[in-house]
Amino acid sequence: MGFIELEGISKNFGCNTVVNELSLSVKKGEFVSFLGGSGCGKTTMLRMIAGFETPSKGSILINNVNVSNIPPARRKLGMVFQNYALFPNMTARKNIGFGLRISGIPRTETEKRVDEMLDLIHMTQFGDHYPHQLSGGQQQRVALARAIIVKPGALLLDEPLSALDAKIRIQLRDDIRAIQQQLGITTIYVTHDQEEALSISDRVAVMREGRIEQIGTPLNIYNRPATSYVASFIGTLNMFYGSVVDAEKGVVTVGESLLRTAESISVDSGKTVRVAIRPEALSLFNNETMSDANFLPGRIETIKFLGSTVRFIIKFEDKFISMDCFNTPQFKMPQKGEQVSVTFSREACQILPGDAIPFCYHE
Amino acid sequence: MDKMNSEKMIRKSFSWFWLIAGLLYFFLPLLATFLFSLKGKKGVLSFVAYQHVFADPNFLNTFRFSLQMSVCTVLAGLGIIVPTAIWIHLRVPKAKPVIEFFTLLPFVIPPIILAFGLIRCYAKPPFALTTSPALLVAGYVVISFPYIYRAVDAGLSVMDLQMLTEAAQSLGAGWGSILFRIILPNLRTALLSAIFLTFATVIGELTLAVLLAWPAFGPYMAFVGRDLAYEPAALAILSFAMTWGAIMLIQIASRGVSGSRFSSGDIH
Ligand SMILES: Nc1ncnc2c1ncn2[C@@H]1O[C@H](COP(=O)(O)OP(=O)(O)OP(=O)(O)O)[C@@H](O)[C@H]1O
Ligand SMILES: [Mg+2]
Repeated sequence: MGFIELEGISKNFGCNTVVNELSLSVKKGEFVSFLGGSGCGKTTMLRMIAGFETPSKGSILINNVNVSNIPPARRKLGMVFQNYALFPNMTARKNIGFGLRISGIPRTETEKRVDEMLDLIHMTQFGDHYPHQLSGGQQQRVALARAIIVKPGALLLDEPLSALDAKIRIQLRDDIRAIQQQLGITTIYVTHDQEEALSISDRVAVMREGRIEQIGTPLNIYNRPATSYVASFIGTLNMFYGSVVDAEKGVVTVGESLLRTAESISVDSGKTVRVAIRPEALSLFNNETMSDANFLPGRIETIKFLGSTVRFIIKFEDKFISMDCFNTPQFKMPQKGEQVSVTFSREACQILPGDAIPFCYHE
Repeated sequence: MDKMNSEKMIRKSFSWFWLIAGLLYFFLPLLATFLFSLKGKKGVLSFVAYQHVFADPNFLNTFRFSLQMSVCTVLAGLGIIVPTAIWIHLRVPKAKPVIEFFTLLPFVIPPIILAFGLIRCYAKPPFALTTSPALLVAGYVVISFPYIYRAVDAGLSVMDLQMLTEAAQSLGAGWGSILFRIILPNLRTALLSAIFLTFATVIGELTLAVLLAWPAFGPYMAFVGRDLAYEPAALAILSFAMTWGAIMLIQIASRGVSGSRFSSGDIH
């Protein structure tokens, strides 16, 4: 039994179903992210856990207690908001100490724990600043400290970093993860940023239209996307339509080329499927290429230099493939317009059901 | 470069012009009234009109009465309207236009109609209230409703009430803590302006006080103005000064209460 159990949760606003039969079990101390595009119901789900919305159907159990009739103030869940939601009339210290003060903890103990928190978030010298005197990143640190000082059963974060600029975002997300690990606090984190979700979570739940499309470890989600939606949502991906030649042996055709997969295909021969290949799984043909690898012939259209990697857009028949190569000293840079042979292993070649809209590559 | 500078200069002098024009518009009549009030003795400037005003016991009595009424109005008005406005903001934001429409009614409906309505409804049992100052206060609450509601509404709109409330709730706060530790301290400026406007309105209010027959300051001023020349001017200046004085007292008092944790934030 998980620490937080969501059992068949649905939420309708009028006739609009925003969360649809969603079930999830979060273990104690686990860090789970809800990842999904705008409007897929992430915030609504989180607000139902916090108690600010009531599920239309299903039940929520926290620590084996059905919380349906428990108001937010008594659920003992810490909440961190996108826009910080600090109390403007209080200094950072008072904000952090708020939860303790209203629960009647003596002043001296409150002060002591606030000091510890200020230390934990590296803001000791900012204790007497008002929110409007702090940067966004600092405000969010204070908001985090304010939420965890009361030792909540779980921490709920709704896109806490999306209002911050890129550098602060990465730094703070690492800090959030470190603090979460240090305190062992069960955490649910909502984001639309796949990199963020993959980098800090124990498990990622990819949401789409109010359902969980796939849930798994970041590695699992990235390497083994279960559906084309997940595949397209996570990372850059080449995706082509193909048709199954031999399901048993795992052979498909894409355009004029035959491709082999590592496993057999669960779709009947002759059916249309989608073939997904990560750009980093591709390389240019060279002496080290395995004899049983897949090949695609093509012509280099664009070369994008990204620092440690180089991204090539290669035209293959009427499709485009994107390929990432490490910019190592021994790497021989091909020229624009050059005819090349792109190769990739059988394992790199993933077969997904042939639904949804086709596209070539995605950034 | 030169062109831009001169443009800036023109714009700047324009804003100064309007500022000065505004100040003149506001202070010239006041100054004229003040000077006029000093002419009680022929040929010299003197405070003789003020002496007359203070010598009249009705002056202090009516002013005290109106002051009491305004305090009651402020307390009752805030007590009714602040929770309502918060509730509307949090729970029924769709009702905002409706309430806004209602806030306009006291401007559209003359106080005399309000007064007659009150007298008709509350003159006989079971609601024989015409002799109770509560009815006067109730009328004043209606008159000051637009000022209080609009000030509070504006204050609530800028603070993201819903998010702050939810943040407080997730920390275990009940409604008492949310109201007194978060919402009201953040509404301080809005409440002050609501109180200010209510005071200014109630102290000089004439119609309701006359029709309900109360010895208020408004009727007293009207009465003095009818019979005397220099005293009304002195009275106008005095009531102006006293209203401002009352406001300043409120400001100081409220700073004493919440200043340690809030108002210093404005200054930094
Ligand atoms: N109180 C409400 N009343 C009516 N509809 C609502 C309400 N709250 C949310 N919705 C609708 O529910 C859907 C999901 O909203 P939600 O805020 O959960 O999305 P989200 O996944 O958090 O999106 P985002 O990434 O943009 O924050 C949206 O279509 C939204 O319009
Ligand atoms: Mg959201």
